[in-house]
Amino acid sequence: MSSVKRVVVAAVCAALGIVLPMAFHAVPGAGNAWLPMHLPVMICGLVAGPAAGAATGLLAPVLSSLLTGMPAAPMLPSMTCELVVYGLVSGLLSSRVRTGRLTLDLYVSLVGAMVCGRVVGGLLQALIFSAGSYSLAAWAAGYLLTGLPGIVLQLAVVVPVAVALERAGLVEPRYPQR
Amino acid sequence: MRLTVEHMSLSYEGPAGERVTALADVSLALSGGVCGLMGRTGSGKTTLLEVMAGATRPDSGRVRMEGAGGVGLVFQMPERQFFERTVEREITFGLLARGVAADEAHERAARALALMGLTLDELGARSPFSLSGGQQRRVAIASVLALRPGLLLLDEPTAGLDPRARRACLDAVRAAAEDGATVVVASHDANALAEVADRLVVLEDGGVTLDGPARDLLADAPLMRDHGLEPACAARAALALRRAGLAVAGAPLTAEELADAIARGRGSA
Amino acid sequence: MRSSVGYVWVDSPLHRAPAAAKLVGLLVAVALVVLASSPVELALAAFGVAALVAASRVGWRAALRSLWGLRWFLLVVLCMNALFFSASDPLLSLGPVRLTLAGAAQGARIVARTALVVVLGTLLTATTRPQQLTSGVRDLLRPLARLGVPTEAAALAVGVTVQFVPTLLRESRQLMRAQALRCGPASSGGIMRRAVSYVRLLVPVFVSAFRRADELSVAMEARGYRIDGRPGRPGGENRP
Repeated sequence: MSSVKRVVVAAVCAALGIVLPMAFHAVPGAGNAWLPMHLPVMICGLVAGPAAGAATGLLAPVLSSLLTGMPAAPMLPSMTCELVVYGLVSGLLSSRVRTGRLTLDLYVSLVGAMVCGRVVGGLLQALIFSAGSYSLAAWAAGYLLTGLPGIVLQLAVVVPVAVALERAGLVEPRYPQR
Repeated sequence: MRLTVEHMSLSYEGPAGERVTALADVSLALSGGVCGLMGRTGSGKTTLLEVMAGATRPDSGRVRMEGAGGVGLVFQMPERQFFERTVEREITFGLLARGVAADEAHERAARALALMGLTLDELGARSPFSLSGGQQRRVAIASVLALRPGLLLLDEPTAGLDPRARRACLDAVRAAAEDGATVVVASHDANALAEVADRLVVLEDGGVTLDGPARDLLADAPLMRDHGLEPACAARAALALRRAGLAVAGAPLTAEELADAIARGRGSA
Repeated sequence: MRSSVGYVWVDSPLHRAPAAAKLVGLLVAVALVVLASSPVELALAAFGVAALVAASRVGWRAALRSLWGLRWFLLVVLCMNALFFSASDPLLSLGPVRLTLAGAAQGARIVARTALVVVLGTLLTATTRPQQLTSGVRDLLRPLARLGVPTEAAALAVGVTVQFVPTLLRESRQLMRAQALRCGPASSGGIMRRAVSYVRLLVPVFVSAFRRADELSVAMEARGYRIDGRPGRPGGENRP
């Protein structure tokens, strides 16, 4: 994928990261539960590489906060860090994981990114953002309970989208046909 | 299925806050056959189809449907709605969601694809995203045909299609009508409507300005032009030829009919 | 909720100001707003923002549109703070819920700050076309180019993102609506079922967005645009 295309893809995914929460949020808090902004960040990392994924992870929350007020300013730094990690790790794993099967590669990279992002997010909360008032219980509650719909959504949506994009010829195929 | 539209009106707020009239007191009654819907962009064709499909509620007026089969609406560029892994799943999706058994769904998918000139054996296992534009359009239309709707609504089905796909599309429209469905085709393409439509309705600024037999209206080149529409190619040719002094019999709508009309004109000269 | 991002075609001193200056101004203004905490400071900040809105001539409707879309969220924030922020001096209490003045004040502060930041952000996009934003970001980042920061890529990314938000918003709404008509609305029920039903809404949205990205990048490269420092003029200007 050319550099120009990588940048444009990162930007378009960032735009989706701003748009999807708007489309999803009929009810406030629904955005928090389903975490729609995470989707384009992961997908960008998987199909366009770690730099593009990280860029989307940075652009989407910052521009979204400016333009729509969500995420609210206090949550912005931690959310941005987490999203950057998602984009970065999904891209790194995507380029290294070669199981021979497209969907398996994608799922492994996705899950790896989801785990890393949440671990790093938790560490940052504990050390920097909510230092002193954080705990393993809080981490579990935040990521595994309230964040459960988001996890399920990512597991359900990200891989079909990446596969569709590859079949449509819009991104580089992982295993080019001989 | 019989469809009756009574005094339908709909307006909405435009981008600058102004009031835009999409439909103004539209009334129609359809019972079987193919009805062509023509009008300039913004004349309300898509809105009318959506109201007929029950997708949009009008400000006033109502739609009555009598008969079996449900409504199938094929949007503009329906291939943009693909999401399944394989063509077969894409087509059977709606059927399975409605509780149709898997093997019957498979059957109907195969038949619907065949109506569109494609085969399930050949395309069934492929990703819909990997098909050519013409194939994608045909698969998308087939997925609505598989539902066997009593009312089939199509919005610009031939736009952007290669000749083979276009042909398959028009054949399928006729086949659906022969099967008993009421079909409405919104299109800019007078040539396409000339081949399949029994009746023609013209919308302008949300109101019905013409409603009559398709053949008569489409063949009347000056009338079409008066309403801002491009007449069928053969009708334009007939008009031009007559002006140039050649005798052209009848009101031809297709190339074959034109050739025939010229021959007959010569014969009587 | 209508699109909250969009350029408003009027003329004003803000429209005419260079994008780089507006970006810096925005950062400064946001910093000031975030630091304001006493009612006096917040009132001053609100006054300043109102003055900017007036100067921009975009109209109150356009300026407050995003804010209107956030009204429920802001209400929730206010209530949550009023009811749970503090445990001392409750006016009313019911179990863990304690309504306090301190909580209400905190909630009001947060709401006020968020609202002001949102209006500032809206002002920026209402007075600056995406291409101008791109240039502005590029100008601001230029000094960093020496340090190896990919300034051209960053400027392009910001510009394209802002440019595509209204387009993708419109398009994804259309696609989701059409898909809901075709497949039925995203099912109610358990999380699993709902998540799976979102697949059919979201796959078309992503495919369509990526198609646009593809078209745009092909068009730009065809006009000689390059990012990686090789010859070719950035900005998408036509090659002679």
